[in-house]
Amino acid sequence: MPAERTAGSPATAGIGPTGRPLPFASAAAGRYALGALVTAIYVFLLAPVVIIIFTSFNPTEANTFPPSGFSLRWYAKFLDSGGFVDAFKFSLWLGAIAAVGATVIGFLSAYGIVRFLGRRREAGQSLALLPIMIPHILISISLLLALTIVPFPELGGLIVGHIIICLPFTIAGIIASLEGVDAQLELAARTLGASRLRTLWEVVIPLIAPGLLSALIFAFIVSFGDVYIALFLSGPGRTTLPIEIFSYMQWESTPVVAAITTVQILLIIVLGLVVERLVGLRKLMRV
Amino acid sequence: MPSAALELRGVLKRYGSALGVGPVDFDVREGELLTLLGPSGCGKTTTLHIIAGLLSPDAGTLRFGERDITRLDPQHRDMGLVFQNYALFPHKSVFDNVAFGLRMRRLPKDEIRDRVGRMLEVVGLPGVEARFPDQLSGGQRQRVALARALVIEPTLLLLDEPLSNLDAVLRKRMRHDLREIQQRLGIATVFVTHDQDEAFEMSDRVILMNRGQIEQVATPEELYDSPATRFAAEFIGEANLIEGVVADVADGAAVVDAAVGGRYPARLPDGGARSGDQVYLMVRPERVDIATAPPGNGAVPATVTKRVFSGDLLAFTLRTENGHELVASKPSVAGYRAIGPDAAVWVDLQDCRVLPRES
Repeated sequence: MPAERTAGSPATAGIGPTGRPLPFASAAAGRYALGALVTAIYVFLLAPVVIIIFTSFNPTEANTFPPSGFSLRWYAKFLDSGGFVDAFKFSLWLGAIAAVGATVIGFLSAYGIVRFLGRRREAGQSLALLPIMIPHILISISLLLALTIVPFPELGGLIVGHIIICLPFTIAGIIASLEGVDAQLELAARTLGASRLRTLWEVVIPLIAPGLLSALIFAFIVSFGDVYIALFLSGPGRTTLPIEIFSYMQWESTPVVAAITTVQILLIIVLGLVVERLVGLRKLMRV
Repeated sequence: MPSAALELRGVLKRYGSALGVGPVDFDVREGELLTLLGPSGCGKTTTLHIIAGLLSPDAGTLRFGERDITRLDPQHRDMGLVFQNYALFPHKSVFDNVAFGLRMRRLPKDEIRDRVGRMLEVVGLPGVEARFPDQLSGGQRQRVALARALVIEPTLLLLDEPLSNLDAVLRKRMRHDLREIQQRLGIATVFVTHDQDEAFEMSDRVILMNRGQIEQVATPEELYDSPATRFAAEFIGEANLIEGVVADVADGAAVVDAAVGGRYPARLPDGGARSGDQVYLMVRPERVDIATAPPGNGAVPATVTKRVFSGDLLAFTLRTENGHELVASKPSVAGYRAIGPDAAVWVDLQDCRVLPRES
């Protein structure tokens, strides 16, 4: 998805706000000013990430930047510490479950909203996207209180919480994909002998596969980065990575946290590239 | 009379409080091409979707032979529908598009391959199996859509404005091809269009619709010669509608005093008419006679106000002495070409028909 959105060309700076071409000198100046602004924004956004990556290679216990040398000792420390590795694995597992759950539920909701709500569609869509507006900590506390009333295994609560915070993202993304699917295609499939379910499987899902995949990965990233839900709902022995890092940093501060963060950043970059690659491939296959 | 393949009785569909269609009653007969003709929004596509089962009527029944199919899901109706935009599956090859209905019927792979190949030959597109819809021209897509609908050997073929996205030349050829394929397969077909020429060239019978109601069911010739209502007269071809009063009725024909002047014999509508009724006299433009010398028997003097040459035809706009306008359409031959704008002429009306005038 990001590939399509950012495809606009920045080379159109030669057109003034009124649509008329600007005089050459002023157009060039404008182009340089825009370039400088964009560069500044990217530096502002990415500098902390770059600093963390460098810090993780520090040979000493201090979080210094630039690093005082090069060493992989904090990566070794991460792999040696059972707590961090378990939390990392648990976060991966939880992210996968939440992503699949939020994508399946999100697809069904999005399909219902787009195809069956008619004039109530706007209302339905706003309602489904509401969890974005509610601070996650409120969702977390509500769930915690609800779980004291309705008996439900603790792990279930955590999964439900993560699905709730992922859903608005999957629903919004899948709605956008479904809007590109001509409803007549589904009617055609029905007249040719396909049931509603078969039509979803044969026509709708293949056509929005890139959107479903993006939703899946986006949901995974949301779940993987969550702190607030896990803060209240993860129990002893079942901590997610952000919580493990959070409690570690209350007592100690070594570059091991930077090392773990670097691994996470790498994971997210790889996932992003995978989406990019797959969506690009589907395009080539004229979907 | 051929037996009915499909019967619609009292079929009604509302959208919110607005009336979509009906109640309508009609039959589709075995082997015929029946056209639903009307302006956009008249309910013809809604009617087609009700037949296909894509919309559920609020009242009324659909019978297919002995079977009540009113509530039957579309996937069990065995009807082939060709959409206006073709609705080919963009992610499937031509072969997979055409094979779709056969796969849903779980036929063996060999049989599917045979039937898809044969059907692509029937529609005149052999050898395109491996292509994708976006690699085809508009006319080819149209043929693939037709093949996909026909390959399931449907009990009824439904065509929703299938020619409206084609250019003029292709449209003419597809009219002919579509009709030829339909007659060769002998398949009962319901064809939806807003184009009168298409309806006339292709149909066995035409159902003229307006505002969700059936105006008239007739063969193309009947519809042209004997429109039942003012809407029918004006929607089909061109018509002069002249106010008049019935002077006399005898032997199923009337004599009408027309506002343009003169007294004309006219055929009566189904509802009949009585002396003294306020009616319209309908005359087709090609049945308005023009003469440069007074022919005698009660012709009306008029002047030509406009003359349009369109190759094979000349269109005259005439103003009678008492201020009424008439249009006349005449073959573009020497006699008529000699009549210029502003010429003084005499007009006579032939083949008039009485139409009821609503108060």
